[in-house]
Amino acid sequence: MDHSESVQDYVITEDERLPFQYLVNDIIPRSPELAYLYGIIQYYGALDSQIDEYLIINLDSQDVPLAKVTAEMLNYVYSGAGIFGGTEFLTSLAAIDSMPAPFKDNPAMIISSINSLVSSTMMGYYSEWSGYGSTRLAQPNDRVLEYAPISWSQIGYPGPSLGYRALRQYEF
Amino acid sequence: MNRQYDADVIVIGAGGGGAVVAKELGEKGIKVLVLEAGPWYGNSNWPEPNASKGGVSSSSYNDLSIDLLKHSFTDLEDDMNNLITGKLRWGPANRERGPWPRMGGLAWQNSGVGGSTLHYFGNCPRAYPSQVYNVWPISYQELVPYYEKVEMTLPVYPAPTTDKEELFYYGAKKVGWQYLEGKEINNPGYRPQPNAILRPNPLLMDPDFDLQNNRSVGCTLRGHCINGCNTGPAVEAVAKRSTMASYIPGALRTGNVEVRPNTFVIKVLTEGNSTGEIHAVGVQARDTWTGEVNEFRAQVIVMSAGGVETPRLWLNSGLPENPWVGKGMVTHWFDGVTGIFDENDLMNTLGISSIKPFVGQNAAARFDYPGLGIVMTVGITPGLFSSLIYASSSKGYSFINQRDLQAPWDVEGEIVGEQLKESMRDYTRTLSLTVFTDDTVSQENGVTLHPELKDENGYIPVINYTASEQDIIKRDKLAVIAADILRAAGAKTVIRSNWPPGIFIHIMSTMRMGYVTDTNCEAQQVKRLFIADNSVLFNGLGGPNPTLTTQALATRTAEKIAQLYFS
Repeated sequence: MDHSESVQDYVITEDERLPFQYLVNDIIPRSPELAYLYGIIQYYGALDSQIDEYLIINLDSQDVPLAKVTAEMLNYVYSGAGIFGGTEFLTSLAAIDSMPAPFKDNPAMIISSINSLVSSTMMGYYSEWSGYGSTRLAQPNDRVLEYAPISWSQIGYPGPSLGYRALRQYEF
Repeated sequence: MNRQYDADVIVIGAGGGGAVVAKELGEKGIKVLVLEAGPWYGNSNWPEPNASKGGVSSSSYNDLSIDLLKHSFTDLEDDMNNLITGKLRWGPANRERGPWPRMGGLAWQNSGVGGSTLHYFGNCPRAYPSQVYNVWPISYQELVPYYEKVEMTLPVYPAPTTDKEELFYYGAKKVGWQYLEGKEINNPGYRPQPNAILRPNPLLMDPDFDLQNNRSVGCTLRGHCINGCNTGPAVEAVAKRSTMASYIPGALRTGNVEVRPNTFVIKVLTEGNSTGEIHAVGVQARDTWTGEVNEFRAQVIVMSAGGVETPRLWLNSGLPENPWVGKGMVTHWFDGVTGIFDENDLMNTLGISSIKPFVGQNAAARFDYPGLGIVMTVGITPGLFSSLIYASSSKGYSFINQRDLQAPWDVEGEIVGEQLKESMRDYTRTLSLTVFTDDTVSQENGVTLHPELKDENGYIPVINYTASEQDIIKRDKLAVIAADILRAAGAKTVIRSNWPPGIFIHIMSTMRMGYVTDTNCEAQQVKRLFIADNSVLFNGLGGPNPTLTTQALATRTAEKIAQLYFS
């Protein structure tokens, strides 16, 4: 059975997605409690905007594609204490025999890779990316913004603007 | 011009420094060829700058096209600012290719005509005089006429006030800080940002003014400075004065400047004479679309490739050894301190219900403290905002950290999970301050070549930076000042990011004047080779953003080149 999703330029397998799904859900989870407090829009999280795919295409847009090895590394992270497991835990993973390069024997690379995935998760979720909808996996030149991301409604960002009549007269 | 040359002067890089040298030399009748590694947005020779090779070069002002610029600069932050696939990244024009690799941290720079001024905030403070007088090998007074010339050319004005700046001034005043007047700062205090953004469109506050079809001159406070501004009726009149919009159009107007984008210089060529003195004669450059390598020759070469690439190019070219090439780097080691406000408090203080960080110029108010550094407001679009403010910390995840009851902030470290969602839910009531540290020049910090790893442009650069004890003390003091201002303004929650030292935005002093170059900015060991970018700055200016000083120095360097070799 073919597990690969039908995409335009980037091919992403379900197996590969799983550890990235754990990670983005840790950073921007679904939140029933926030939905209860502030309205249903606050329920949605990174999984609802496919931010795991965003991480994968960013990793595979470098001249040396990194999504596959990063997925393998994250599988070890999530077989244990997860990304919040602490520096000591993450450092210990570098010694695992079957840890792939460039993470094998390189704890600094594991930590910096996770840091950059955390930061990319926020960039992906709060930027326009998920609004590319059916074109989100196309090459960047071919994407079309189809709708506003859920995140913009959650935070009150109206999207790009041509101008604001926002000048204040301030006397120093 | 002699026929054996492709130009009188070759400038490597069309960014903050190189574009200035090109225009200044062009105005003196000197023929200049600018070789730029990245794309050219807003030029009809490259109608699809990221999708196809387009033309070879442009030397005509009439090639500039605001319509093409508006088409390329979409105001969308992933499209524009993604470090890997964005239009404003350190990489080739072709976005199906990856970025050019660096090691040792994140150097947030752009390739392209305009260089890193394409995403800069336009901030143009002068250096603190106390950090130049009796410190630099040239005097502060020597810089003043060049500062004045650049401030007039860009031009530079005090930034306009919107809600977020007014809230900052309110807090700073309440703490008891002084309002600072004038351009030479010798005491601590707050002031509107001197920046290279055209003043707000005079029609902006008129309710009948049609923003949809606006083709007039002036900033519209729409908050897209960092995404690459496209506001204006012509490329030359774009509100934010990146060199793409300021010095490059001016250079083309002279009729003496040709700019060739998509051309990565991989080697500086030299020749020696019988006395053992060597001088620059040309460069080898690689077409980033085809991979073809060409040689270009000129009487003078100017390196303006930036704080990382200029030393990398020197080292990859096998130019003479010098213990200060690549060394002495300062970066202003940034930090972020953020305040979240309640609607009621904002209503009581300013009569507003939110401050909307995405409204107004991105960094329009500042606090200066000679001896320590800078605190500056930063309001940007939400993807960049969250990833810089909430995802960048050397302290780990905030929910794991014990709260330090002595600290003036409530939270320190990365914010994730529901706490992130709650904090971003307050985005429109969040005022973020960025701290720049007056960090110390150290020969231990800087750029070296990786001993083995190469990309198509040569051995890749490795950046190494460790903050000193003094830097840590200064930065902590600035973070406390920032927190106090936010608290005085009424912030309910104050968050310190505590950025790691591996995010590099102001990369300076890697080819220092007095060590690598003489006071004319000509390399001491290679005649006819000049440097005009942030790398030649003697130090970090005390904290002020470096572009204006680099541009003032580049103006002076152009004058020196003309006097020495073309008079």
